[in-house]
Amino acid sequence: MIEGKEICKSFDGFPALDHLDFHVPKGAVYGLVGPNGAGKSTLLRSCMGIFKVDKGNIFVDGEEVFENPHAKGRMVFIPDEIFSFRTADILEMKKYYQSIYPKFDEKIFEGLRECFPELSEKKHVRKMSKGMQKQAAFWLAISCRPEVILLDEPVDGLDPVMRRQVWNILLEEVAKREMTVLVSSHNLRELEDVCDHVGFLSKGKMVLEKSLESLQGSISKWQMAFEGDCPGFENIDIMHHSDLGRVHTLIIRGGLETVRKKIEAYHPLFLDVLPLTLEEVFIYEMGGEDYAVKEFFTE
Amino acid sequence: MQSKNSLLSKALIKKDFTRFWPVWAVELLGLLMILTGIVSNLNYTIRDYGYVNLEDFMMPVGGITILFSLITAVMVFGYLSDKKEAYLVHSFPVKRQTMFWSHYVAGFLMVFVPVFLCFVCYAVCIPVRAEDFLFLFVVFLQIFAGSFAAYNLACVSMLLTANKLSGMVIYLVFNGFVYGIINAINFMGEFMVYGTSNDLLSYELYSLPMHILTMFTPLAFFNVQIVTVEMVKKHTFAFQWAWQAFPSFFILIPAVLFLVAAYYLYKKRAIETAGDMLAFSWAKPVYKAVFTFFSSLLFVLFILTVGNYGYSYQSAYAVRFQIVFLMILGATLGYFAVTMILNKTFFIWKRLRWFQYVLPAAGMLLVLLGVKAAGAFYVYVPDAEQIDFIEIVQGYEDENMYSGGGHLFFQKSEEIKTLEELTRECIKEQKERSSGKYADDIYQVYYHLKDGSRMDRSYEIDTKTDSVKKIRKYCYNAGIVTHSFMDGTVANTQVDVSDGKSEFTKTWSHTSSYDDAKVTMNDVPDECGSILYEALKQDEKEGHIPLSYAEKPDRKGTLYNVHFEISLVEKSREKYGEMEEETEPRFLDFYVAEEHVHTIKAIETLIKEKKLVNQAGLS
Repeated sequence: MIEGKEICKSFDGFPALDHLDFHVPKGAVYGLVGPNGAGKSTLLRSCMGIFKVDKGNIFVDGEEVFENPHAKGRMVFIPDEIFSFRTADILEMKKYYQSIYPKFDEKIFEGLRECFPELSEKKHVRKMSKGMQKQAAFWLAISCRPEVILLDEPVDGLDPVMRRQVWNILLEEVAKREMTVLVSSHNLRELEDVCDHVGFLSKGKMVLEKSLESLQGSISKWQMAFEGDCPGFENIDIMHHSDLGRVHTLIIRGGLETVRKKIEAYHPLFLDVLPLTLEEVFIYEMGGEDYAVKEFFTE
Repeated sequence: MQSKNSLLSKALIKKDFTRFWPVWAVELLGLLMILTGIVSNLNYTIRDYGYVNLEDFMMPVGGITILFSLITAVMVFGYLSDKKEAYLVHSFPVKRQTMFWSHYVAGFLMVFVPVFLCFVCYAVCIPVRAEDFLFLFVVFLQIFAGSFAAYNLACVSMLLTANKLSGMVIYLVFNGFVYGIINAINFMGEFMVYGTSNDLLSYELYSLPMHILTMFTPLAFFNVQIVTVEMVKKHTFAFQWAWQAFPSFFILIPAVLFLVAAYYLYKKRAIETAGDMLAFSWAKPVYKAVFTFFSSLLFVLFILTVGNYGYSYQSAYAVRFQIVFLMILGATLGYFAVTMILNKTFFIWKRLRWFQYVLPAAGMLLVLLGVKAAGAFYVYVPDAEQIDFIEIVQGYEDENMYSGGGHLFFQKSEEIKTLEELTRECIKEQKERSSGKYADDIYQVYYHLKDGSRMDRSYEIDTKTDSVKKIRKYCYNAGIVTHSFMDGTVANTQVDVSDGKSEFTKTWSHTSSYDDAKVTMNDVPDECGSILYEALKQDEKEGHIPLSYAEKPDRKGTLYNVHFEISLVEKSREKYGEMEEETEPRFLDFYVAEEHVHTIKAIETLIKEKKLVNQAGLS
């Protein structure tokens, strides 16, 4: 559905996106993960045709996005900071979106009203709290019936109930209409629950791009103990190693069964597989990119 | 949604129009208030003067539209300076060209609908005749043309930047650019060479560029070009607007160019620059250079004015070292200031590299040296080979004996060469004069060049200096009359002999300075002129200098004043087609004292023969 090839974008000589490739399948919920300054927001804005990329192409359903109203008419972008006109209320913003987006659906707008009970339609959007502004943005965006929705830190500022509510609406749209979602967030716990694909960005490059299933299948967390010293673990791709007494915890890259066999060859006293969160995958993947958590000592 | 190729989006236009309603509402209100004031005085105006002067109406309306052109452009394109809004708007499924034209048209309507309504009200309110509508319409078109250019320029300014304040500053700077350039050129010229011409920029090499620059600045247009069209109740002024009004529509050319530039700036701009002082990286060095240069000039003028340096245009050369120092200092300060503005921080020294500290000073020094070496600013004495003939005017500030001083003409190549050298010497000497001293003479030189043009130069001189005495002596010795009066260059000579009493001759306006003078003559036949001239030459040969140019005449010793009126100009006009009318007949005055025996004898003889008539009745 969305495909980027060799995308380059720099700001005053600083490469924000550096020969980046990615692919978001139709109907996928694709999570963009990366440290601050990795290029997530730049990628989203480039995908939406706000930024013109210096090199490469971005296609949505085979169509170039930049300066293409047809492609952009099928997409909606919710930025991290919501903008509304100075004195506009939700109804006024609705009218504006209605005149801009060809597929704006009045029925959906009316239908969603009860999903956002706290929102007053006649209150100036600018006077609303950050969370309420986000809700209003979702309300309007979903009413446009987009085929692709791009979300930059979408639930930042929303309370837990409303987070769940918003994700439910989005996932329902994904299920019903095969809407494609490209979302960037630092809340990996949440992404883990909703995403089926993940892309790891670092320094403007796509470090890793996989479905969540295959990602979790290719990296695993093991706990084990040995009678004597810990062996050297040759032929095992260890991403992280920590120990507490004689108990060793290892994050290992590779298939579950393959890794098990390799470890069992060292005759551990016990061996156990622990659940690995997306956050841990992120931290250990980024550690390899010189982004490990550093310890800070004070005297 | 608009179709793929649609240029306008109704939604965007409507949104701008409703969102920024206070702008056009205030503009309309302002215009109506002006209208009310004018209409309320209308009856008195018509009663007293018999007509309605549209200039009273035009200037405030023009001023308001210029102001609101800027405000409107800032409003409709202001979203480009706010990252949040810019990102949202550019995520919409609308092409950039549609976005530009929609915002542009919305702003255009916001500026001009109130003006149009105002004109309609004016036409309805005042008792105009059908034919007067034509004049009203012409005025409307003129205001439209000027405001159209102003609005387009404001759009360019806004789209060149990504910051509202920066856009407004650039608009104002651009509008004041013409005046800035004029002042800069005058200032540089005055500081680099001694002596200026008041009309330096009105002709010669600067005239065409200045006209073009004036056309490109709406403020200058409204100030200079807008015509006065009077709606006269009794007679028509058709001819007046025909030649006055239409040239002013040439401003539509830059207006259209501004529009094209605005469109391409919009299309090419990167949205991520929102909030930056400039939207295009190539504009930064230009902005820095212009800002640095003008801040340097402003700094010098400010310090010289505030510091009471006795600064004047004529004496700038005397404080040239101070000026150079201040210009370099001003450039450095200006460079730091513009770097702070562009980087939006006060702490720029950490960002600057070592060479950037000396860059502005070195740059300004190079500019000064380059301009001086090229002589581009001010060729104060042209090369002798370029000169056809020289006309020199000297006047005495403490006397009324000349209106504009006497004129001397030199056209032989050796005269021109000598005079040019003397002039250079004189200027060099005068240039060193301290600024506190004021000269008591004006030494005016017209260089009539071989290409038919004329260069006017004017120098304040101290008559006591040796160089000036040399020039005066030379002027006398070169025998001006020999070369201009007798050799055929000058035709239709008329000679007056005047005693300067309260009786005025037709060519002599001096009154009663010469108590000892004897006769007043007028309408002297040509033969008398020749006789008098020969007599003067004889006196000259014997060492008596009868010319006023030798030195100031001793009034009490003056017996006669011989006045030649020379119609050199008519002759010259045939040769140099564009000669100006105000340079018509030249006057040569000779003061005859007792030692000028040949001249006195000639005059007395002519009186006896009744060829010269004593108009005052004296003998």
